[in-house]
Amino acid sequence: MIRFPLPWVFLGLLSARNELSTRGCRTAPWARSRWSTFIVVAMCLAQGCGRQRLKDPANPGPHNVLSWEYKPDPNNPNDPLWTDVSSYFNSPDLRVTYSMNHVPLHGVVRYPSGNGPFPLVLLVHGNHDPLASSEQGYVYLLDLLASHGFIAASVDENFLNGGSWGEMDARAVVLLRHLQRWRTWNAAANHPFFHKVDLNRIGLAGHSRGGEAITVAWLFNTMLHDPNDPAHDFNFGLQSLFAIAPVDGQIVSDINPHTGQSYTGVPVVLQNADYFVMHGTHDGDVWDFEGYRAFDRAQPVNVSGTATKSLLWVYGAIHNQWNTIWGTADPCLVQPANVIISAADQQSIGKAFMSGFYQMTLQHKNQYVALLAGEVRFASMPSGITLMNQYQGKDRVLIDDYEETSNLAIGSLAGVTNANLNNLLNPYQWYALSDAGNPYWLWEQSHGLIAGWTNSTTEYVIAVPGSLAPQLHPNSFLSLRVGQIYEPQPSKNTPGMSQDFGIVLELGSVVTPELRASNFAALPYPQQTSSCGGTKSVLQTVRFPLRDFVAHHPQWHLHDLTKIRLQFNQRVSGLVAIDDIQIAK
Amino acid sequence: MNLIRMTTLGVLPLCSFAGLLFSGRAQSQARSGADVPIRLTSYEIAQIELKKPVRLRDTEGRERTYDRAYLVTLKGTFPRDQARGLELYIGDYRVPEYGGTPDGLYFRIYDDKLLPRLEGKEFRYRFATTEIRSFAVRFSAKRFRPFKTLKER
Repeated sequence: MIRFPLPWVFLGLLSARNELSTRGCRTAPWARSRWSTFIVVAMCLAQGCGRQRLKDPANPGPHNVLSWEYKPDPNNPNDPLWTDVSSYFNSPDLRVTYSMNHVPLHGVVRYPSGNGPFPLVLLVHGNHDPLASSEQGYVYLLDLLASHGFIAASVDENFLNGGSWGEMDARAVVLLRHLQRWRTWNAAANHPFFHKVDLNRIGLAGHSRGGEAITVAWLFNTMLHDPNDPAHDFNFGLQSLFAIAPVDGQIVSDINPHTGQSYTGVPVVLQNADYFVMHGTHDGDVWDFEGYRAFDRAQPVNVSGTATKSLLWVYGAIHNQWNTIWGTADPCLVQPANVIISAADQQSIGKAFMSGFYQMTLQHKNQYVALLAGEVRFASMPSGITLMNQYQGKDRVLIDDYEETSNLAIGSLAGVTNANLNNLLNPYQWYALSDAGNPYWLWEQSHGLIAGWTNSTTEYVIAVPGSLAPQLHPNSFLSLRVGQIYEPQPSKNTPGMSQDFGIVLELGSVVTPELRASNFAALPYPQQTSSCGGTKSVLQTVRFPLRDFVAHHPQWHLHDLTKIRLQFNQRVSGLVAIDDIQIAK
Repeated sequence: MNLIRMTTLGVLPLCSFAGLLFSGRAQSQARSGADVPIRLTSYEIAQIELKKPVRLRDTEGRERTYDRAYLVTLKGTFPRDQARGLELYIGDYRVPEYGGTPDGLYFRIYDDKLLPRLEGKEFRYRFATTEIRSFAVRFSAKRFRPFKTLKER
């Protein structure tokens, strides 16, 4: 690598650091002069271009991958790989040959060569034909994870599949019983996995009903834990949960066999574990995007942040193509069908995000925040497919989350006030983002602001108190979720066109230059769908680096912040939903 | 041994017998998988002798042991092999779990005190909406007395 003298690098750093740390060598508008270009190139060569430093997580990692499979001896009824879940569910589909008091703990495993200890990830499928080996459909993910240093196992729960209902608790318990075996093997001196499993770094992933099962397993991990009961000795180090097109709330129907009552704490409100939800616009099974509700509930606003949450909305993705053996059709065909993406493309996207998520959360490769926040795309991710990302870090101060009061003048952080400047925002509405249809097509479990404009001088002005100052570091972000609202009769938004807006900060008497949202994230027009469910207006996280507001002005101080002004001056008109305005690290 | 305890079922209000209403035609107001309408065409109730006694905890937390149960088998078209499922009701009583059969689904009732409470109530369902819809078929255990007796497989 060619190294340039430090002064040149320093100049490059002053002007280009943010641009290059995650975005590679893209040249910003201000750098189009020859001198600026030289600085940028010098920076690239000295520091390495961003994309080379942030490796594509969908590419195989450095570890050799080995295979293993575990299942009980059919001739040994006392094999510990048989387990009893009959108290949780005892009505199997008649195609299932197992009795629920004698079901197999069967897993397909890929793992890295070497001594470890390695983080462990269990993946679990959802409901499908019980005669299909659904666990085989995630081997493409297992191989990738193992190459990156994870022990990855796909768990067989086919005996709970079919025309079944009321089995969600059993799905979760089976996962925890698998973890019990891994704990035993890790402690057994004569076992191949002796001391190879890092039981403090466990991830779960689930698809469809499996996507809810992992959050229920997180709940049961402590709720049902009983160290004196071998069948319920849980309390594992569950750190990260990845949900693929999950259902949400089926556990509400189940009865806790220990109490005879419904389970408490359901639907699950996830805390203290990183969470990721991935879903497609053309999901023709869970076409009501139930995982969005689970995402909204996770890491609740009234609890200090202890974990991250992320969401990925994939234009053209369906339900079944996340699993390689579930075929390329869903129970309901979402229209327009001609924009449905291929299984290969869909799985490429899934690989990148699952690998990046677990590398970030279980291997502490925090640079993959850029992936989850949608600020970087890799070569493995098919071009031309619109992705919308939401990301919330664990260190955040919420300025406006719209949960505490319907009074829009009052913010969430004490001392914050909001104003619709000159009353130009119309509508200007506190709203439950859960209408699942007209008028705003939002499918969430959150409250937010509905904001519309037809005048380019429209502004939403947030006055902030001095108590916010300690949070305002150059390395922090002003972050918010914002998205276009679908209008069946287009009015304020233009079909096919991205939205945009700008933000300026008032630092005492100083007004910073405006930063545009489009410099950091796209706000695409919603994918219109019909036949199953309907169009969804989905939000996008936009993170404005605070340092960019004061770039080239060392005499400006972020801790002098008095106002944040959202200026709707980039488009003639617009209608958006806004939520979770925050300062984030 | 920490015996695994199952529940019976939710507490239901007492209901009077409203007469048998059986119809071979049911309302199909939603689509199941593969665009098939949800339909209940018939049902049967039999008594099954359990292979092993089952210990259940009812909603009051009391434990009871059952060596037989009532098997309710529904014939019709219902969602299966997919993520979203159908919530099944008899009147206001929500069936806590059921399994698929080649031509429908089945569930068990352990507490024989539940049978008269459900007598005459409509089979209902919720799928893909917030609304609970009727199958226009009423539950009647009396209709199947004396019960056929089966052995659990």
